[in-house]
Amino acid sequence: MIELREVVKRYGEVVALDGVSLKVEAGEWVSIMGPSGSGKSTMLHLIAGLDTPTSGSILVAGEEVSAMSAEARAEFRRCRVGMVFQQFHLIPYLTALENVMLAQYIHSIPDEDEALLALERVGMAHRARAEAAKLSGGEQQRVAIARALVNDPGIILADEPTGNLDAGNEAVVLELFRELAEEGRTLLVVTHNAEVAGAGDRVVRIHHGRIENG
Amino acid sequence: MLRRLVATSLRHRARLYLPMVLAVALSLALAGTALTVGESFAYIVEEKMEMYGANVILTEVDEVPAGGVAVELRSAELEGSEVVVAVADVEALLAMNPAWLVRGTGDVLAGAEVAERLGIAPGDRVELAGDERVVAVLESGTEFDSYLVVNGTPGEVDMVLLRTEEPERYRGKGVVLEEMLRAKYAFLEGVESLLAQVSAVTLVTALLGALNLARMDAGTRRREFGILRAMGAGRRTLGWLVLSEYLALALLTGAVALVATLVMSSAVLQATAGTAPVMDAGIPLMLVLFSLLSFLVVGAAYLGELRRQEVAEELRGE
Ligand SMILES: Nc1ncnc2c1ncn2[C@@H]1O[C@H](COP(=O)(O)OP(=O)(O)O)[C@@H](O)[C@H]1O
Ligand SMILES: [Mg+2]
Repeated sequence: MIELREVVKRYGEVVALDGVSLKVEAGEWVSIMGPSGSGKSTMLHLIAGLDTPTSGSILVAGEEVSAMSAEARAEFRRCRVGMVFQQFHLIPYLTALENVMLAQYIHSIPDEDEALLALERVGMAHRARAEAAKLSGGEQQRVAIARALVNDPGIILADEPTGNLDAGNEAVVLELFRELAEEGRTLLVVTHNAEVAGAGDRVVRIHHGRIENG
Repeated sequence: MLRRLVATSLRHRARLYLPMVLAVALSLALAGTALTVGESFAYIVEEKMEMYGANVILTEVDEVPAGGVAVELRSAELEGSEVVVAVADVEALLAMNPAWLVRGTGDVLAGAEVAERLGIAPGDRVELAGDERVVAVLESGTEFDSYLVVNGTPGEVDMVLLRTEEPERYRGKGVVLEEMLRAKYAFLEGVESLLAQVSAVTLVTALLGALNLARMDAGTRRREFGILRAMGAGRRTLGWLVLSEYLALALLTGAVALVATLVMSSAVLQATAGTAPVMDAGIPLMLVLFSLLSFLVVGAAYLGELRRQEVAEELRGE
C-alpha cells in the first residue's frame, strides 16, 4: 500500500531522512516513534506529497507519489489522504462545520448534511456552529478528525495527534482511530505516547533519520 | 461555499483590508472627481451656448451684421434701484431665442433676477424714466435675466447677439461666446488638472501601500494556505480563493470610489459654479475598471508571495 524505498531528504546540511525504507500494508495501523528532530514529520509530509524526497522513491497504491507534479500530489492528497496534526490546524475564524465543509469544497462539493454526520461521528455535532478558535484543544482535534475523514480517505496520516491533549481527550481520539482502523483504513500515526503507539499493529522507531527496526 | 469563505475571510481581515479599500477608493475618487469636473465644465459651456441661442457676442461693432440683434446697455433707475436697461428690438430678440420664457405681457421685460430683487410680478406697473409701464418677466437663463429689456432702436450698440454657424469669422472682432464661457469657467479646468495630478500621486501611494499590506498579510496567512494545501487544495482552488477575495475588494472599492466621486464633485461644482455634477456612464465604468486593475495587481503580488512559501514547514508539529 505505502512503500518507501531508500528515501533521503536533506535540508541543506541537515539530513532529515537518511535512507528510509518501509512497507505498510493496506489496512495496517503503524505507529512511528522517535525523538524530536529524528525525521518523523518529514516522513509523513513526504508520504502525503507535501514535499519531495532528495532521493529514493515513495509509492502509494502502486503510484509513485515522489515523482508526481505538485498539482498531481495535491490531487492525490485530496482524494486519498486525511491529515491530522498536533496543532489541529483548523481555520480559526471558520466554524467547526465550515472547517469540515472546506475539506468537502476542496475535494468536490460541500454537503452540509454529510459534514454534520462527520461531526456527529466525533461527537461534535452540538458544537457545529461554534468558531474553531473558541473550541477547546480536545474539541478542535475532534473537528480536525471529522475534517480528515469526511471525504472518506483510505489513508490517515496523523502527526502527534494527542500531543496537545489531556488524558480524557487522548482516549477519545484513540477510540476514533480504532474505529477508523476497523473500517479498513491505513493509519500512520506519529506519537510519543506509548499507549497510543501500542494501539497500532506495529511500532516503527526512527532515529537520526534512520529506521531502527524494519 | 466559496462566497461564505470569502465573506468570512474578508470580515476576519477587515482591519487589514479596510485601509486598502479606503486608500485606493479615495485616490480613485480624486481622479473620478477630476474627470467629472472636466465633463461638467464641457457640459456647462455647451448648455449655456444652447441657452443663449446666439453663439457669438460681438462688442464694439460699427454695424450690425445681418441676422444679428443690436443691444444698447444703459443704466437707469427703477423703483429707486439701479438697473441695467437693455434697449433692443424685443421681437427680434425673442425670435432669435425661442427657448426664452416670457411670463405675462407688457411693455417692459424684467429679467427674472431683477424681478425677484425688486419684487415685481408679471402684470405689475412700474415707473421707468417718468412713464408708467406694464411689466412682463423674462426667464432666459442668460445675462438678460439681470437686465430690464426695453423695446427700441439702440443709439449706441454695446453688443450684438448673433446666431452664426461660423463663429470663426467673427473671432477677433468680438468675444465668441464659447471663448467667453470658457474663460468664465476656466478655474474648473484648473481644478480638474490639479485633482488629476494629486490623484496620480495618491493612487501610486495607495497602490504601493496596498501591495505592502498584501505582502505582509500573505506572510501571516502562510499557515492558512499550508492547511488548505495539506487538505489537497490545488493551485486553481487557492488562486480562485485569492482572486475571489480580491475581486470582492475591487468591487467594494469601485462602489466606495463612485460614491466618493459623486460627493466630492458635487461639493466642488456647487461651491464654484453652483451646478450639479454631470457624469456619463464612462466615469463609473472607469472607476470600477481601475479598481479591478489595482486589485488584480495586489492580488497577483499576494499569490506570488504565497507561492514562495514552503508548505511543509508551516505544518511542522513542534
Ligand atoms: N523546512 C526545513 N528546513 C530545514 N530543516 C528542516 C526543515 N524541516 C525539517 N528540518 C530538519 O529536519 C530534521 C527532522 O525534522 P522533523 O521531521 O520535523 O523531526 P520530528 O518530526 O521527528 O521532530 C530536524 O533536524 C529539522 O530541524
Ligand atoms: Mg514532528
